[in-house]
Amino acid sequence: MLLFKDLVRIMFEIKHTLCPSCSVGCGINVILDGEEIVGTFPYKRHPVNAGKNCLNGRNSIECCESKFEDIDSDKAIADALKEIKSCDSSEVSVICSGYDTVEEIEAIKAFAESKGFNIGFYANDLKSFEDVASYDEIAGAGKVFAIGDLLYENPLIGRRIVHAKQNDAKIYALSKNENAVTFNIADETSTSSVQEFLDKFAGEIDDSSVVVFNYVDEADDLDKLESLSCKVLPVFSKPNTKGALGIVDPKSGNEMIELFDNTKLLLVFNDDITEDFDYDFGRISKIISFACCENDTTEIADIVVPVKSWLEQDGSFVNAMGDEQNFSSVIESDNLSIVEVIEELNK
Amino acid sequence: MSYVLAKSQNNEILEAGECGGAVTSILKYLLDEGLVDGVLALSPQDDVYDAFPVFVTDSEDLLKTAGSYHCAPTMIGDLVQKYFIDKKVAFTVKPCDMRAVEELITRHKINRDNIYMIGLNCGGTVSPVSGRKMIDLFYEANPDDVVSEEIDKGQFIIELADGSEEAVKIHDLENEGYGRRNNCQRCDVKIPRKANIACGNWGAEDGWTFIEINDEKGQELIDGAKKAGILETKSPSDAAVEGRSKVENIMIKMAKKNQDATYPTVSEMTEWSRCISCYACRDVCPICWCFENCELNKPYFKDEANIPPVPIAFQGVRLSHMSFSCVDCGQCDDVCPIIQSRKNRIIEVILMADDLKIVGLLCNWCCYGGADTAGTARMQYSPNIRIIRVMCSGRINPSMIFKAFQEGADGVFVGGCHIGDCHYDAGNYKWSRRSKIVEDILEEFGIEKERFRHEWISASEGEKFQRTMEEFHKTLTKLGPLELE
Repeated sequence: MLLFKDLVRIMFEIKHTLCPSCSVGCGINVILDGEEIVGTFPYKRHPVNAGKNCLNGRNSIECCESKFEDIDSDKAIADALKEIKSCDSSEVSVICSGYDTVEEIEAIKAFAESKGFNIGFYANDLKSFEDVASYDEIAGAGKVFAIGDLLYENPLIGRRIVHAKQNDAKIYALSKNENAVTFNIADETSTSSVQEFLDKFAGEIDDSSVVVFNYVDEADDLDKLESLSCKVLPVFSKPNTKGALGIVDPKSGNEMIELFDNTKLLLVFNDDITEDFDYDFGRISKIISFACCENDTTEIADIVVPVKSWLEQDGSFVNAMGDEQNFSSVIESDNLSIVEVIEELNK
Repeated sequence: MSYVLAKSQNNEILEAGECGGAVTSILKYLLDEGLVDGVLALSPQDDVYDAFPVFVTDSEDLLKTAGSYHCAPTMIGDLVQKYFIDKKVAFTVKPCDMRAVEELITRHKINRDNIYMIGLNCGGTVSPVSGRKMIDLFYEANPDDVVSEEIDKGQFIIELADGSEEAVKIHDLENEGYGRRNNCQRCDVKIPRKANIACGNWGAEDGWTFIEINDEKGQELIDGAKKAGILETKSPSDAAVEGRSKVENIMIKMAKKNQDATYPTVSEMTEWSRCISCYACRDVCPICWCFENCELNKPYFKDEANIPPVPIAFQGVRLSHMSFSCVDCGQCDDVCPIIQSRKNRIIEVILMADDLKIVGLLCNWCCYGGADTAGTARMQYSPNIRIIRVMCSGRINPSMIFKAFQEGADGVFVGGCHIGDCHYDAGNYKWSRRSKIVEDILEEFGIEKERFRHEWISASEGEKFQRTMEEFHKTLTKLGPLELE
């Protein structure tokens, strides 16, 4: 018997995934109507955020609205291959990013090495530390030194700082923004440089302290942070920067500029380099962008190869405290993943 | 209203469901008979702490939704509104879900004719992450070994994979900051009586579900399911009815105690200084349905440069929108990343830089005429008032008052027609109701309620307008300029 329900198209579904908007590693549920993502739903079981997501996280699904609908993927890959073959390998640079999954970065690295290409990876001048503080350790710290407006920029880390405050921790906050939200819970505030901040409070840092930071002013700051007698936690702006740092050596901003200067063909894997660098990319002969959605780099690219987003494939990110987090595809896509595109380029 | 005890006639459901599997059987009946397009019900995901709503269109899949999940504090009202508005759908509802659906029906966002609400009695829910931590701390068990949980007889009971059970008194857990979510602790609606039927194990014999039939549709459901041979029913004894009522009353008493607790006033709260304007509280609210048209998105309230926002202009506006209809579901608390529990024309007004600033919102048909009468008769009154003419006091939204205070007003005056004289029949009645909310909210935010005044003044009452303005100015002079943080 054909029931009325069989005639009605109802494809409502909720699925788990990860938030890609920073390196904290929050979980998020997406709501699907068929193959279309129509909203988000709190993932309350997720140990990192218990269903709490910032605006960036909830808006992350909007990348689906700016996918490349009119690009012939096969042709784009063929054009990319032609360009790669026509160029001397020493003049080809490959850029990977913290937006790529662990599996993608491994494939990109192997691809670049096998072809003799230069490889560039920029971690916003941050680096990986051996023994980082866990999120629970922030909440349980006696003193928290917050570098950057963590309450506003990384709220689920900020939440741990609030918990520390509620547990009577003393909070020291540094931000370039004198109206930083983190200042509102801090006992001591500063808008100085990182060096000055660390020097000023050096005597107060002990083994009950945790230093959490999402920026540094210069490379020397990292050495200073590494030499502290307490645990630290760098928080990155991209979901898998920590994972990428375990695979590829990062370059400084100046080294990246130097790399661009010596590049004739630039292959950018899922990143928006225009956001990180104030550089005249017109000086590079050809730019090929492998991207899941439109951004300023795809605007200036000569060839755009559409690839799967994190929503369309299985993969893993490593969050700021070093936990590898797996996620599964929530929607289908006709595009290839970066790993599959590289397989095509290797043929 | 009537009562039955019910249990499934389907062996698979009997085995998978709780207390006789009546709820799953009724849902199966609805699907098999084609009375609904589908069923929206909770289904467990990665473990017993993880469940979210799934839409089931094949009754064979209903078995996956059988059982109760106290560690999955979801809300179903907004999902029905957003994604099932034009579909015939049955769903299970806790009392807060039910109240949200009722509110949305009132606002014509859900069509009552299209839905079947199967109510579930609820003693409260537990947040999954803190629930696991609670089991780790207070039970001799690994949270990963828990296969089911239950709230019964004032205890949170866990069942382990080896079949053993452990129980701890909810009261003890809550004293330590664990147990049920804050809103559940204060919720005094334990049986969703506005659902078609309300089901649970309170008062029921083992292996049976106690069902309260609340309306005709509910009776048809039970009769239909019986006729289809999927449900067996019998009458509960008087002792069972009494037992159920006793459980309900004990839980309500506990809730009242929590309601009577002393909460800090808003002005004493520091939490809002941490607000990052992420709108998570608004976006998850089942009652907020304006979406993109939300007043907080309007240019006169949206202030991305000012974070945290001025509380009266963000939380105050939300309060003025929600306090009429909040269903105490606690979703806003659950999703807030940072804070743990606890007429656009106004901005165009150039307020006087010196002395006290009074914004006056005056009805075109009466009070505005009263002001005009006072003016033409050359009656002297304080020049501090800046008048905004509105077509009716019923047009005035509490958020306009808050915006005026946020923009620097020291006092706000609203003048409308006398009751019974409204040009639009009942606009002043509407304003009268809203004004109470404004007074309550202002005090919570540390703004003296005397800084807000409303009067009924007709066009001929120039003298009353003059007198009122003089009195109001005098009051504000005593209070001094308003200093908002």
